[in-house]
Amino acid sequence: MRKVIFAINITVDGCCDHTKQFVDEEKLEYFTHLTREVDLQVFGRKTYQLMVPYWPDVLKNQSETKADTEFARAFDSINKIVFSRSLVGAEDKNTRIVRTNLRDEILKLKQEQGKNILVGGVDIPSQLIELGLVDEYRFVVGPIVAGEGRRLLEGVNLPEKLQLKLVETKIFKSGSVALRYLKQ
Amino acid sequence: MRKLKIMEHISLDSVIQHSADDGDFPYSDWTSPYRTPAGRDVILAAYGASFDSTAWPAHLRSLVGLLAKGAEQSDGGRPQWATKYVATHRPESLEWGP
Repeated sequence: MRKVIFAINITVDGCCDHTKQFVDEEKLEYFTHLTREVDLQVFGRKTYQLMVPYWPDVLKNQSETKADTEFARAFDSINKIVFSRSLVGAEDKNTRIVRTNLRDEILKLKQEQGKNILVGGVDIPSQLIELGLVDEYRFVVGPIVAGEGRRLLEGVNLPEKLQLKLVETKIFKSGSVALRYLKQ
Repeated sequence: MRKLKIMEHISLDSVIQHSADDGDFPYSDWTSPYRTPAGRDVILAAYGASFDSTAWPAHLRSLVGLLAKGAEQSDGGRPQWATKYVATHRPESLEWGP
């Protein structure tokens, strides 16, 4: 069965607001590798609209760094699903908008043949974590204390404490640390 | 100039509360499994040979308990002799030491 992987950049104090953090080449490369390991990416509308058309435009213009372009290439080529009630259409040819029940759709996708599923953003992953549907967690903790901003799993009611198993760590030159956990 | 160091157990979703003292927190003592001898050695190494300690009363009680346990086991009581500064509006006895 396909695994659902949740990946996100956070600060030392658990802030997951992207405007309070930085993304450098090493982080981009990390997420490029991760994107290549999966064949489907799932978002809510807000995160999707942060990513599209920004990254497809980076690929078209080829004006950013090599790391940017490589991430854009990986991102552009992957199939995407957006859970949204309000999004009318998507220009990206690899994007499908889904308006049905999140739980049912993810359970169906997990049963299908294919590589793993990457989920990004905050709202949709929070719901999936609450539903117990996330199998793997990738936290890239930046060397920042944001002191404000939205925290990871804020407002989420977990049925019980989530016990994870650390399986991999990677330290970046910037002082960021990538932590990979599996659900136990 | 002396440095202030903060050492804290923190969960991935940035929870630092570890006792139910302050309300109906359901996961009292969640840090216990991580208070291992290896973890204690890391903390002692980070404290260094000489330090003073500041803390809130509840935190200090827990810290002193941990360090006292460490003293019995391996480190010869070094951290217990650190001067501890407690931030409190309510003067209380300092039966735990200096």
